[in-house]
Amino acid sequence: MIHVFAGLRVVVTVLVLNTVIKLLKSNVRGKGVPTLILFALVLIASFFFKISSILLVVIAMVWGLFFGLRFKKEEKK
Amino acid sequence: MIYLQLFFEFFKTGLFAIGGGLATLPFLQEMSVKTGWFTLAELTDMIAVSESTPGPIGVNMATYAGFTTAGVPGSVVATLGLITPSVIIILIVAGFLKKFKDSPYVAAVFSGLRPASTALITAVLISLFVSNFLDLGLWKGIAAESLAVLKWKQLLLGAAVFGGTKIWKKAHPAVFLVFGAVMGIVLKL
Repeated sequence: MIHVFAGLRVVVTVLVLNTVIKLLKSNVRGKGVPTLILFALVLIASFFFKISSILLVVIAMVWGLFFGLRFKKEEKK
Repeated sequence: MIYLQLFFEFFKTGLFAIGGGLATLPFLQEMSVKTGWFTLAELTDMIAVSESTPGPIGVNMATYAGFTTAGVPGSVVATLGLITPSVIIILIVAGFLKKFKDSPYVAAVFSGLRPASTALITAVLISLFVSNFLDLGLWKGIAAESLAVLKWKQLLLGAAVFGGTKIWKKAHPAVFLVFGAVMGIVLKL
């Protein structure tokens, strides 16, 4: 049974990898510098500093509100 | 008490995990560290079970985590905790759908949430990679011997599965999971 689960874990990692690739293509690639910076900051904060995901989600919402509306205004100009 | 805790933890997950089932992963990983209800390895097993069974992965994972923690009542409470925020939020949104759809504020908030959600799932992916493909106990600094940290059999299987998912794009994940399980026995992982 140990071997079965070890094999399953490898496949799960690959399935998550495929999801991450899709998400990176649709949510990060070509979306501008603020998006790239936010992605990098959240990744570092979550992986290295184990900062709460809830806090990071709230920060991302504020970040999106600030930069999203700012770019919208610039586009209109 | 455990039921209340289960409900509250999964309620938080349901409230903040935005962007599909796998978005629950970072929250579940945090939950495993905070509560000790399940390990990272068990979380990975949960994903395997959730990926090969019908239904949304987030709900399946809540049910599984709840069951492993407090049996059938635990699974019901955890699932209810996870879906309650969605039900409340969608009921509110449904009433103002047109307004929400066209709101520049909602669009701006999501422009921040999408990359953040992607980053959180990427962080979990790195943790999964480290735990499933590396043996950090064998690390001896920057030296040739440190190549021993690589779990070669797992890496080869992972590369084969990755290639397979690119070739047979429409194949159900369960096919690859069965393949992984069989190869796990064959390669004695």
